[in-house]
Amino acid sequence: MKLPIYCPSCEHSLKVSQLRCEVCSTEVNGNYTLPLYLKLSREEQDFIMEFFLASGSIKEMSKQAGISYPTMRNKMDDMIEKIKKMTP
Amino acid sequence: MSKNWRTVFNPFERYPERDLAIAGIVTLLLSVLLFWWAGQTNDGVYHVSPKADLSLAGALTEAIVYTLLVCALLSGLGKAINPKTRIIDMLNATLIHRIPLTLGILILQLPFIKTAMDQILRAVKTNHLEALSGATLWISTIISLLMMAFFVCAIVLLVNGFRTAAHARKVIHYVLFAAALILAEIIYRLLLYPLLLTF
Repeated sequence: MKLPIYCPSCEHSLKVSQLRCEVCSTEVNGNYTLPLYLKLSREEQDFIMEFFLASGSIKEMSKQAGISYPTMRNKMDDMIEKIKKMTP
Repeated sequence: MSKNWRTVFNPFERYPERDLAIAGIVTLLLSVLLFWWAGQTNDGVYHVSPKADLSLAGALTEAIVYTLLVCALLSGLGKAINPKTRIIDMLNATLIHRIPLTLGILILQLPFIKTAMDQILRAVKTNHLEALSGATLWISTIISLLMMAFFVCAIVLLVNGFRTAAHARKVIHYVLFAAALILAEIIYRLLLYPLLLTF
């Protein structure tokens, strides 16, 4: 199931207000901000995971994705720019 | 645009640099042989003239000089736009974009087209344009349009190669790209080509 990160009503970022233990049903309430990684789209999260699994090699990732090195590097640069804008 | 057409006009997005470099070098060598065989000289980066006594070494030197010139200017611009730009990607774009131009020169060597072009040249020299047949005029018009299409294809390939290599996104990047090409043409025509003729 996809984790919603934006409010379906007003489109503002959502926050975590409740966490629950699956074993003993303990519930924790609060106002937690989502980690940066979870604020990214599913494709962007997958991209970061692939980058990690490829030992940080853009060349290896481009080989696996069947695209050229500069295309993959450009994709990476776009994401870096987006993440920089998201961080205060 | 379908994925296949996108690949035709932007192979730099998909193929690894080694494959592109091999295709580019093969094209360069074939174009050198073609220019030597056809007796055509590159007196501009994008201009060709007949030169019957062109040697194979001369054709090779011309091809290497204009390729390195365009590559050097675009790489310099690419590095200024994005320091991560690699020279190999710009060299591949410079080499691959000559494929449509080489095809154009090859088509011009077809006997019936050559005959039509010779007839036009003769008519211009003798000032008897009225002597040209309708078929000759049709052939020259179609060939001119075809050459224009090949030239547009070449520039589209170079723009896409440049965009992929330098991650160019702003309008100013493309304005500077056009300026770099004009500068390459001026440097080659006014400085390098006259220098090549002295060897």
